[in-house]
Amino acid sequence: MGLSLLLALLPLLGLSRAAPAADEVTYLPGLPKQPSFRHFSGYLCVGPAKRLHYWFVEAQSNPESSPLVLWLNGGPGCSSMEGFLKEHGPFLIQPDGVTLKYNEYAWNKIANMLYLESPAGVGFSYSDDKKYATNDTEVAHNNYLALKEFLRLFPEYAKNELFLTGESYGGIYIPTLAEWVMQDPSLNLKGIAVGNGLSSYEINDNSLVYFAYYHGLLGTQLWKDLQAFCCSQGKCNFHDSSNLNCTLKMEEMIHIVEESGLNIYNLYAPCAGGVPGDLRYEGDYLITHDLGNSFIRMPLRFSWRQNLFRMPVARKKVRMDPPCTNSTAPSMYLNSAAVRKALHIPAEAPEWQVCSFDVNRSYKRLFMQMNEQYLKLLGAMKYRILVYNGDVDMACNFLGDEWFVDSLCQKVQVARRPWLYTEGDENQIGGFVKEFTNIAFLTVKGAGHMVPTDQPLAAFTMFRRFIKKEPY
Amino acid sequence: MAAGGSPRGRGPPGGTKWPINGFFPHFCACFSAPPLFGRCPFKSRPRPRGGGGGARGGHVTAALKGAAPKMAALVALLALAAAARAWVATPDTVRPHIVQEQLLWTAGSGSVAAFRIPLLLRAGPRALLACAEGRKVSAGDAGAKFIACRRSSDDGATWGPSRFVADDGAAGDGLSLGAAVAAGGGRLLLLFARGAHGAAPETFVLRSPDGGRSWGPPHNLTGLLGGRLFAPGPGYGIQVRAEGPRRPGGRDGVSCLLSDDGGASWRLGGTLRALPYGAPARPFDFTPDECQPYELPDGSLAINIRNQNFFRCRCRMVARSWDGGESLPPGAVTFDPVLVDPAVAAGVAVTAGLVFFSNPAHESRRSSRSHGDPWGQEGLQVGL
Repeated sequence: MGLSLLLALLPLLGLSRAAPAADEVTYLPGLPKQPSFRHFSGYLCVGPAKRLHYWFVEAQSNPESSPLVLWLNGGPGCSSMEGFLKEHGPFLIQPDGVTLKYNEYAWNKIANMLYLESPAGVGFSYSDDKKYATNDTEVAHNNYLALKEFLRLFPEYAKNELFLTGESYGGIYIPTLAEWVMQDPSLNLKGIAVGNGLSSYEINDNSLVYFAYYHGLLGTQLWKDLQAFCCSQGKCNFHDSSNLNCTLKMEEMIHIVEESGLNIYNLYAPCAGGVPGDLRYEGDYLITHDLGNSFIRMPLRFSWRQNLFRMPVARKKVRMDPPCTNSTAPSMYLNSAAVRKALHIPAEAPEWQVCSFDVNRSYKRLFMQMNEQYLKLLGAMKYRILVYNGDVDMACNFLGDEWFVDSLCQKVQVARRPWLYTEGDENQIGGFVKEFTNIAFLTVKGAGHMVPTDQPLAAFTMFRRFIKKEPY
Repeated sequence: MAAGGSPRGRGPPGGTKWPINGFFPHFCACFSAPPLFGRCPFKSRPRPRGGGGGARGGHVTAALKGAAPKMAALVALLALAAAARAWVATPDTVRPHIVQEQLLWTAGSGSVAAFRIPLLLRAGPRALLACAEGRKVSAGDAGAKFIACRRSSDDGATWGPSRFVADDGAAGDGLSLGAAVAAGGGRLLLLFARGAHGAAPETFVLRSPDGGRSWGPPHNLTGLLGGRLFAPGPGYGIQVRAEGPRRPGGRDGVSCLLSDDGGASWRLGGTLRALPYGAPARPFDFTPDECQPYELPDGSLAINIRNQNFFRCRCRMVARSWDGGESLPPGAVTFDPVLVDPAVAAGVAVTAGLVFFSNPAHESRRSSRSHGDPWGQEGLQVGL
């Protein structure tokens, strides 16, 4: 009784911030020196059975007045620990899988960063019933509930500016989550940012063919054939053409872009592990690299994906690794007993994998495009939206997102122009930006799918301007 | 304001010159706070008067730049008449009124903290170009900026999107507008400074070949000017007919920047030095500052100048030149007590033989038939 009274009085007395003490990470293996900012790792309970793992790092200065930024990696089924440990977290995993190094361009230099592993089944997140079939609307709602749960545990951040950010399939997660958040007056939503996001399957497929041809990946003959079979009257349909010849030529094109050994996440980066096959075995695991976001309407690919899901071998030991990406280091690190302990991961939580095959293959994609969600946000006239793309990514290529943002038909505020960032004393072009009322489309020159990994300074500059409402 | 010579090609016949107003050493912004309003164009309505061709005045536009206390700032209301009109107005025959008013920029457009130092230019037969500093993160005079321009091709009824034609990155002492010049044949020039608040400002020119639709990269004129310090504007440059002897300019005060070839090359013209020369200014010193040149009907130039330290009066000073800006004789400088000056930039335009003046000091505009004639006593309040 006396204790609960004291606890109830604590916030009134202003003696303590309400962060859950049990979740605070007091010692993190691999760091040369423990950080001066606080960070927390634990679980957010959603519904009766789902436990979503979060890792929350306070801003390096003035956390109380800095915005709260939620980050979600994509997949569907991939872990936001990837964003933490390899993109813009405060410490980045080194190739040895043991050491962490402080990140000069960490996004928590200016924001409180909440990294959430969602949906259940991804990374350390799990469900007591181990049922991981889910869909877009359920995930959006559960992410919303997780955010509410986070703010229940950390009420001191409830009033801070809130931004929802994500990457790749986050292009679906973030706008659908924002639909929930914008309707909740207790949340101080200020804006959303989506990096190399999936915004429309159709536009993503169609633009990729142009991207591939004009980046020198397709020969002249294949390009001519694609034009002849997939296009009429100047309009091309590479997404779901009913022309058999188009379908056959698209198979060729898809093979080149996705299966020939090019790094789909960064055209100009090497393929980690060398030129791979589509499927390979690694120990007991069958490894697949296909996240299933492109060309969903192509008959051969559709049936292959179905088959893989039904294959007996797929029942247990299938691992889904993003292609040409080496996830050994984060896997080693996060699966070490000491790190699990430090991050308060219980024994019943699964082994950490960068992407969950289960979640990905049983995921039901309900939205084919995000126009409605963006228009709803824009209609509120008060949210800041950033759609940014590394311009050498082929998974969600910049051209597709540029077309997508154009298709929202918003009023142009500032014509497309280069944006600059400062490296040393020199201004450099970071990419290009086109600003509409409340929404900007921005490219990051020379960056692939994981923009902060490839261009950390440019990405941080962009993030800072977005968060602080400065011009790009 | 007469357009002399051929509008195309280099070195139009008749030795046409392009004086650009400038000042030294301070570049000071003169407007207080956003938002910016564009009011375009001002029409002067000639009173019907014995069928004297007054109807042709329907498109005469007047410059007006300034703000009443309650307002923030105005886009310079400068729609230059392309050529001399068939009639000459007198102050009592014009009734300027605001035809329309449009918001061109507000603080926060493109997340820009503030828009200041507006310029407006006639960019073609029905085209207007408005440019302003886009101050990135604070409204202060120094700091990183864009030059933002918007273009109208229907006399200001509708405006295209902002185009950032220059970007100084994250400069601590960034770019400063500036002077705009319509150089004929659709060519536009935009002069601006960088580092105008420090010891070594540089002067740049941007060129548009197509009435402001597209812009080339900035060219540094600092070398051409022999390393002289020069911060153009704010205001607009003019094209004049007069030709005169070339004389080296001074190093201080108001200077003319001249080009005889449509803006391809530049040199310093006449200079009106501050006194005492080179010494730190004190109250009531003679310190000519931001200025605006205009051509009078007799072919001479007048330059209406900010009286930075209130020499003799809290009013504007006017310099004259009878050789196209090659010289600005100190003996010809006068002070106009009617034109109250709180030491800020002001706008002047000449059209239909009338000089229009506006500034934020006074809630009215005054017009004069020509230099030395009395200003019309009725003004037009532009503040809201």
